[in-house]
Amino acid sequence: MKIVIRPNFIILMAVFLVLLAIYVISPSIRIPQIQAFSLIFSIVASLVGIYTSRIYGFKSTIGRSFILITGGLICWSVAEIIWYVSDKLIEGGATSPSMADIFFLLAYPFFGAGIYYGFTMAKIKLKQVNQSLLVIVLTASLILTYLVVYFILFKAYDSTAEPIANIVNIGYGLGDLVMIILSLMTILVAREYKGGKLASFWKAIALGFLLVLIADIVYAIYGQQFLDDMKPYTYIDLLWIAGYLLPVYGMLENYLHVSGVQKKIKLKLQQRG
Amino acid sequence: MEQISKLQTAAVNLISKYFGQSTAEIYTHFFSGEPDDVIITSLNEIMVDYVGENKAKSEIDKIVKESSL
Repeated sequence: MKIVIRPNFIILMAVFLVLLAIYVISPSIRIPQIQAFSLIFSIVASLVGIYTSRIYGFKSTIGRSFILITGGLICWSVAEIIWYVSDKLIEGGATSPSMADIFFLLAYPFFGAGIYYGFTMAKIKLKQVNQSLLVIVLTASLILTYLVVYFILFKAYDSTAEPIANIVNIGYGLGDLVMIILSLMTILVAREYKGGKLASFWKAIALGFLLVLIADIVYAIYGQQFLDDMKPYTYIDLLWIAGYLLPVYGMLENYLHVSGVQKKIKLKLQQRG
Repeated sequence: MEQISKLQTAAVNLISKYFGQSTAEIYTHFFSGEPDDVIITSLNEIMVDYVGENKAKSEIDKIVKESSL
């Protein structure tokens, strides 16, 4: 099997390794420059999403899918901005629940709708999907569901907390359960386009979602150590950042491919006169 | 003539579905006046690269079948 390493993938890995080095070297992640990484990469993901969506347009199903997924990324960017600004402006740091939580949660319906369009467009016939792959993916989904229910949903309700805090915490748990279903759907969509460039987008989205899910689960278990700025728990941040970098890679690859197709055919038209 | 027109329309719709409206518009001009075999070859070329061999084959077979009805 021939393995092709794409230049964008090398750039993405280089960025990630630089971030990893910064997290390893830095004695604390509670400094504004490091805290800004999530914010910066969420904005980069949104901008690349907007740029890529424009090339597809809203009239086509694939365009709707890209725009809605970008909508989810924009919600996360807004949430990151609100969180970062309030953390710097409010004495004692950002609190939860806040408007940032609303925007973090608002992203899920956008992701759900975008992936629904992509899933229906792929017209997957489950009987034709490799049964081993289906068993592996379903088993992984069940394990993740168990972890989310046990570590996030069961711990979400606090009888002493404000109702809005409980709603937000339960919302995050439910959002993670939705993300498991969406990851499963994206893996199946990627499988449908095996060997094609479009598969790289869906693979990147699936992997991004899975890393965010893993980060959420690890945070639910080791959240206090993370908040106390202890290593290696602070590296959870890198998983969330990877959750932004992967859609950037997937979208960029597709943008470059489709714009390349357009350029090629325009050139042929010019040659034809 | 009618058959060619049907295939062109179906091919452009397929491109619009996967590559979006702006790419489809460019292909509308490119396919104009081209025979069926050229359209199929061009379509096959971009579809295989983008959606993989199996999906490209099933999508192209579908439009060829529908266009020849």
